[in-house]
Amino acid sequence: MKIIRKIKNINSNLSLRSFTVFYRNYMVWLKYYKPGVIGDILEPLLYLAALGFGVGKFIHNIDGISYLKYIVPGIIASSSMYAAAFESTFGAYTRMVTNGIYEAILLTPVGIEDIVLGEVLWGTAKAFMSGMAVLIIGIAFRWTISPFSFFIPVIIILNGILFSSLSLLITSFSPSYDFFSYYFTIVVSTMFLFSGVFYPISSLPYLVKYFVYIMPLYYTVSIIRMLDEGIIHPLILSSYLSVIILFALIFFYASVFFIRKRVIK
Amino acid sequence: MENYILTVKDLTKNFGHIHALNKITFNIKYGDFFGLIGPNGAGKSTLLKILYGIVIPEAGDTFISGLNLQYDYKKIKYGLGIVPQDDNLDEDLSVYENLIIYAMYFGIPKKESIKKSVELLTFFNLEDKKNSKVADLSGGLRRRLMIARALINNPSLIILDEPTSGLDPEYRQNIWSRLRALNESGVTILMSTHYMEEAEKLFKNVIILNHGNIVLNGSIKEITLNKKSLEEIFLNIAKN
Ligand SMILES: Nc1ncnc2c1ncn2[C@@H]1O[C@H](COP(=O)(O)OP(=O)(O)OP(=O)(O)O)[C@@H](O)[C@H]1O
Ligand SMILES: [Mg+2]
Repeated sequence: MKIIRKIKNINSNLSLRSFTVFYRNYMVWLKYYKPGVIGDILEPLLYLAALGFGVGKFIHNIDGISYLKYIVPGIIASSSMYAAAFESTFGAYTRMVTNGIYEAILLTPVGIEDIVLGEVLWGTAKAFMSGMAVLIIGIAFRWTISPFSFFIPVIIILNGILFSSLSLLITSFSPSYDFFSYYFTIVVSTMFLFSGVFYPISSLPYLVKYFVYIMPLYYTVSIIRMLDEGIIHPLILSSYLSVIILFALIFFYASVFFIRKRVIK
Repeated sequence: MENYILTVKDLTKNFGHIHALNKITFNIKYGDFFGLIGPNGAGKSTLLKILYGIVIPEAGDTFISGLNLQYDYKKIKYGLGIVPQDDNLDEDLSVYENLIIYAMYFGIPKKESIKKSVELLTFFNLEDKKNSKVADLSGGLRRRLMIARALINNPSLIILDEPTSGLDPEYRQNIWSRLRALNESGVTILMSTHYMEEAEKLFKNVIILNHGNIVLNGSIKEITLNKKSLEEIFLNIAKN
């Protein structure tokens, strides 16, 4: 009951002012975007090329499709995860702690709820850029040809919201930049390697497989792969979507709660 | 209450077992130039942070322009200009952009915010720094930009936490004259300091804070009438 009241309270304080926070980040990004773009867009393409062509030479197909085509959906999901995670940890920490931007914004009518929402939207925008770059390459080279692929951007956005929120939650606890290495090693890289980006999780040992089900990335990879291959299982699709949305909501509200706790004494 | 722009009643704040504020009660009249004086750690910043919503008190009521801070803090912010003790300018933006973005947080239309920003840059003698990066400004200029930023929304109450500390006398006087001009134009000012000379020159009414308690409350004239200087009063208080 207490939680419901808190959520209602957060909802009533959310407003369009969150876009001003988004816009501020965008304005700063416009000034320094060049080095950032390399990480967000070029890196996933390097993965795609190196593994797709390199490893793909030895693995002729997985479930009947070429290895390169197989990993495209996974790279879309994982690159958008990385982009959101970087922005909402290192980027957000710099704004919140190092530069005191949150405190400065709180002196205006923009509240902490709007700041967090604005940050999530911004992290999602970065995720979108990164994921879309891979998708566009995929479509351009006809690696993905299903008409359902046009729904993939929606999943990229959900994935961005999910990982921005989770990363902000981590940031709200983080005592320093160093702390993020734990997050990236234990959470982000683990998901990158075990969520079915590079191989079907059915090839994993029995116990490890169950562990994968608590990884949010698994669900986005699966949905994007479904859309990409054009074989839709409505029940799986809807239940996986629900899982993603549930994860995203939990992480979002938790991060509002804990960032408020951190910034307002 | 109608005569007061700010009413504070029984405000209490503890950090663990540090009693930062003990049942603080005072009022500020419209148009006042009100001073908050006290030695390091007296609770000045804590009090001001409560007023601008970065610190939540354990107990007590605060009304600003007749609105209850606990419920109407967003509405209150529209009429408030705030200069915190630690400067938190947006390092990634230029001087001008700092003002424009801040106006955006207040929902001020673009046209209006451009006009106001130019006006403020002129008022604070920052025109030639308009496109400089904030990181390249000297301490004195940063402080002026902080005050300029706080005025972007035409506030009726400005709260400044030691805006002149660490500045050389020229810069300090420079800021004094601008604050005086603002006050004369009808803006109410609440400002903390531990420079007694500054307090005597600027403030009409003051409270002196020590260990989270108000030890003296009145007009500067009354306080300095029979005793000697504010400096001596202050040193006496700080000793206890
Ligand atoms: N976030 C905090 N956590 C714990 N203690 C705090 C916190 N903020 C302030 N304090 C304590 O509360 C007391 C009052 O601090 P405050 O910053 O209000 O003093 P001040 O009068 O502004 O001092 P100064 O002139 O040095 O700025 C001090 O003992 C300080 O250590
Ligand atoms: Mg202080």
